[in-house]
Amino acid sequence: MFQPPNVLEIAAAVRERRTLAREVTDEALSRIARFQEQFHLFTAILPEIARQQAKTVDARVLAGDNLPLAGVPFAVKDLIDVAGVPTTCGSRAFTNHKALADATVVKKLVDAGAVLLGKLNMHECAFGFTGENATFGNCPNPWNPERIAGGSSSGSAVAVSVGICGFTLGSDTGGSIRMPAALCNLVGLKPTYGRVSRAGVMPLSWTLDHVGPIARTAEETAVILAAMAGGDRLDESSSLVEVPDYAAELSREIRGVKVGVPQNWFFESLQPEVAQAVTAAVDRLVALGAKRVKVTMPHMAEVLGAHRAIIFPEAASAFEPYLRDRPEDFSVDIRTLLQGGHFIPAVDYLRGQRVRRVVRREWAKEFARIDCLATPSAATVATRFGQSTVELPGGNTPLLNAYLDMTMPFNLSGQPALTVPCGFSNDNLPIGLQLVGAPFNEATLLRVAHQYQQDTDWHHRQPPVG
Amino acid sequence: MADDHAITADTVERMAAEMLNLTLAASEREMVAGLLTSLHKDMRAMRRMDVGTAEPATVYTPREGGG
Repeated sequence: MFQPPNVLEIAAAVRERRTLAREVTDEALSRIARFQEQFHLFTAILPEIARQQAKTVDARVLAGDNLPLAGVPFAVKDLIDVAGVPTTCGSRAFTNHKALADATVVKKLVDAGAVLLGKLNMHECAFGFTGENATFGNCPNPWNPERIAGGSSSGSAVAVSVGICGFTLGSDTGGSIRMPAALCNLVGLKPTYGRVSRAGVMPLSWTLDHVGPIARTAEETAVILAAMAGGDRLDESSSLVEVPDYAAELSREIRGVKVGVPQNWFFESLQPEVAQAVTAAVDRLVALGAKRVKVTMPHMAEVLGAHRAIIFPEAASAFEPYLRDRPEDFSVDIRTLLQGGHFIPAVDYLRGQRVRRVVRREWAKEFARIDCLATPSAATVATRFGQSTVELPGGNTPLLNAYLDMTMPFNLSGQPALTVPCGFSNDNLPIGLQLVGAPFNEATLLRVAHQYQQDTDWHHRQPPVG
Repeated sequence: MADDHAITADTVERMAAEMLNLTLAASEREMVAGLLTSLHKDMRAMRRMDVGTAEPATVYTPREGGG
């Protein structure tokens, strides 16, 4: 039976020379060949770069370098720069947009020993959540190919799900790491704004964009985050706050950890199976010693409006020159969203930013009472391609709301948030639990998620793809 | 703007031409109008919120404290 690549086991095996990075890389490349046609998950496969990096890793190990990610195959969403390779942003508009240098996150991960296999498919311009892509092909869900993998980091989730990569990188402006990770039974982390450099990452919305990893477990995510986090002189918004040893915190039990459970917004209209799984997951945390605390998150409707008021004009501004020069290169859907951003008044944009400041201040009071917040990662499991609404207890709901109303608030607040597998629907589709922390408290989220994963086996389930 | 007022393609056409220097085809004007109607509905609560003297978080850094 196929065992998916585990970041920690591969790195240990390569460091101890029980296997070579070159062998791990060749196996991963052969697995790409097996799945690419069905899942369209890569926009660029980079065997020459991967083999050269693997060779370097083997040499560094032989020279005594202690590499935390030695030989671990990874890939990046195709809005992250890799020198000499086009950064397409999943759009025909950028198929010749060749990057001059590696993004800071790529440099850091390669320096830590990871081996880059290629660039991953995504929702065009990261401005959507289904992973449908007319240029590079749709990216179906390995758990059921008739369903979406989620997005916009669709290829990032699928590449881990089918066992090609130990981990991948995605970006998250409204939920684009967490939502596909949840729909594919994976851990996805949106770090605190500023925790991870965005230098060399094509923007959608400068003040809402985050870069983060997707992997199978919180334990692996802790090591990956440590390798990619930290200040960067190339990104003025990156933080100089010290990067802790996330892995060192994981084994601490969660007895006494205060888990906030929102009484408004997040649990109001969920698919019954989602509500059941997430409630059971919180019960499990309580059984592990955590303390359940009821919280009310103020201003949720205003937060939704503020997110809209910010993302649309920022995206319109970020893509403005391309939209003006070659509008026909964008799909009709994306072109409409970008054009629409031009019509949001500046006074609304600024009101959104003022709301953001008030919300951050008021939410800080709630987070002073708890160690983390627990919510569903999405209101529904993966839906079918072409579907635009889903029937929920609260009525027929647009997918935009069903998926992103859970995740988008924490892009506005900039707080760290991760999703961890917590169950399956009756038709065998994954469900995710979202954990949210105070700024720069990723360590607590990873610890709670790790302890939960030690006590459950949802993440051991494999999609029926072999 | 009235809360439930749908934005029309004519409004989009005039704004695009007179204020934004943006060229839109007829089909695009219809789609943008639909999008804007939805966005304005979503922004309704935000517009009514009392933000007091809060300044915009235009340069957003989580480490800067209580807002």
